[in-house]
Amino acid sequence: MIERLLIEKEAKPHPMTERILSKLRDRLALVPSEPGLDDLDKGTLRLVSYPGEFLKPCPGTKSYICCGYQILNVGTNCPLDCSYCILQAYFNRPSLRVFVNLEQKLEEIGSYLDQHKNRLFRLGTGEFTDSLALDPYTEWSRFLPGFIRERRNALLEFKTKTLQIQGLLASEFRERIVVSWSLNSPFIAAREEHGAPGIRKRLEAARACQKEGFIVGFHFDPIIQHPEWKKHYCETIEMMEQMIDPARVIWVSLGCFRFMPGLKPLIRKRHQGSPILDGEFVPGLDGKMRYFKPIRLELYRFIKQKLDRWSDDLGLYFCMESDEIWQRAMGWSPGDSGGLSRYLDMRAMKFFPELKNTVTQEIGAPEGI
Amino acid sequence: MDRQHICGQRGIRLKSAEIDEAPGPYAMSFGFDLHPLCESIRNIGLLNPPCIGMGEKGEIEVITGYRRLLALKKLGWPEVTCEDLSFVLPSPRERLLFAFYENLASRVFNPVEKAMILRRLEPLLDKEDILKRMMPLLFLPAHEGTFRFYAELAEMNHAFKDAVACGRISLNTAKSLMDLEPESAESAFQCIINLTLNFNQQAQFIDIINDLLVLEGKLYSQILEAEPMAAIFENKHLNKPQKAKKLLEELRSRRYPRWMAAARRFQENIARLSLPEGARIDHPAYFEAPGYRLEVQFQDGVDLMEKLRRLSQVSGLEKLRDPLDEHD
Repeated sequence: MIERLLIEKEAKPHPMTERILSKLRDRLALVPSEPGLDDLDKGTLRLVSYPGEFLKPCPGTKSYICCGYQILNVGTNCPLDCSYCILQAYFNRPSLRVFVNLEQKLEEIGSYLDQHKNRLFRLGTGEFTDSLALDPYTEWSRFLPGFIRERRNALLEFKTKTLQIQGLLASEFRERIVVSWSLNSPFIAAREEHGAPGIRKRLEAARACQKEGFIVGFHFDPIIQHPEWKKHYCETIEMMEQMIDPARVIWVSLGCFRFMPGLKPLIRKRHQGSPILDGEFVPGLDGKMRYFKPIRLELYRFIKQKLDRWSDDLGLYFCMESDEIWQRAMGWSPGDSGGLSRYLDMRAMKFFPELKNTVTQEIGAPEGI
Repeated sequence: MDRQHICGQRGIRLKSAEIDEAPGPYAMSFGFDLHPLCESIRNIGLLNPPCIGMGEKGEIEVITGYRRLLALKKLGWPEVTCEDLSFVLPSPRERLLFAFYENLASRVFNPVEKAMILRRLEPLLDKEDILKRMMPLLFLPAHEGTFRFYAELAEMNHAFKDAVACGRISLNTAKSLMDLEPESAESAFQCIINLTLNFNQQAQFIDIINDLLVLEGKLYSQILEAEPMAAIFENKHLNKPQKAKKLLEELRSRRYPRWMAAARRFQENIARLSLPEGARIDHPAYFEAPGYRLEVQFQDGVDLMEKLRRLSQVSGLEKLRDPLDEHD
């Protein structure tokens, strides 16, 4: 819940600042910008004119196969407080920030996308923040779908745990927009995803989006081993079966819980009693802690098997896993990150045929956007 | 005050017996070895006189040269000429900053000394000033969390600070121990010191045992004093490094039962193979990367060919399989 608004000096002239202010002015305290406030404070929203890059590749590593997603960097951190969230340790400025100069930057981003008309861009805003949690204030869903509509070589994924879909539903644009939900077992959602709605509510929101013509996606990430995990993950999949049309699901990703070693003391401190660190975590090839391989295989195989029973055309993929895990748990492997990019691009083309005019290319880092 | 001539104004001869051996409010030395300084003074004398000032009740406060005074006492000098800065540095703030800058230019502070300095600066300077100006001078990040850690370190007991200052425990270990409740912290500290765990072992020890604390709902002492840990500590046939290794193995087995079981199975499988001398097969760290590694030591090409020939004839090699498969 946003309780304070902090507006950095450079952010003042931007229309998004005025818009957010007009929605929050009456019920929030405005606080002066002080260095000491730039910490992990979920109640303070900082409006920032961001001088850095707005388009950057997903921070994958060479040791594991990455999806080649491009991050549209609209802000950092989120008002939800999931105990496992990597963002607690990822940023050197962990505060909740919205980049109010996004609309001004879109022209530049659009120009970059237009210069690479043959390349397919899978963009998403849900890597460094929740794509929709702050949408009632920022109105990302009001102007981003229109921006994407003009770019026939790009799709945009709004990745969320929230029910903030009103803006999207009110939008007249559906082209190349994917709305996706992060899912987990109801057990984990209730205990570890603080401030997020339950799984049933999320799936109801997904169903509403499907009914309104949106293509949806799902992300089982992070999958966490916990007491009776099989039963609890089955509950989620059963709800999906009841509520979601699998024919309009573009992809479902699976990723086991992994974390930078520095996150562990933060979780211990901020979320005492959380069982998420109880599993056997060992250092992975990228330095992150991961479940010991047989545990990952067991988790993946079980969930994949249950999802396969629902539909064999869900666009299942692993987020940041090795070729070996792909082969042993999925039964095939894209081989490398380029292969996974091509696979996901094909999924995108299936649902948005206009993207067929583009060609999958190795995703590199755009410079300075 | 003329900063260029702050010393050399007023020499004062003090009897060594009058000088308190306890570090006063401006001492910035901890965990030092007096021997080299004693040898220096014995051979070439005292080059720079210590600086003192009078306290509110007329007591002598050592501003700089605390170690020199201790060395002189140890060498049995009956008296010493000091610089009395009572009038040029009337306030505690001025004396502390004088001591700080005098030390800053001449040596590197250990972590406990940095902690002492920050703790003493805290009541005398603005927090902002400490963070932005003083901490960078101590090669510390200007971060509130870092300041809090050092301020807390300054308040720890002597044995703990001594272990930090002398590098017997790492700063990360110190931080982890300071986050624990006192009884657990003391148990862990004693274990680390008694077994002289290296920094890497300390990190593993604390990480694993912190996990076990949560998983088993026990205190450190309950884990370390119970079997089989107690037997490891008391085993007279093991030296310290062997005890340390065994302790960590035991802790790992409890924390990572599947990984340790896989590693054991792998070792058993390899041991059954009767590999030629100089040949070994290793698994990747935590079995995370695919495949295994064969290492062969050889004298020359002929020796290598012979070893490869013998390797190819090792009975049961074709049955060597992924130890993870056996559990899949």
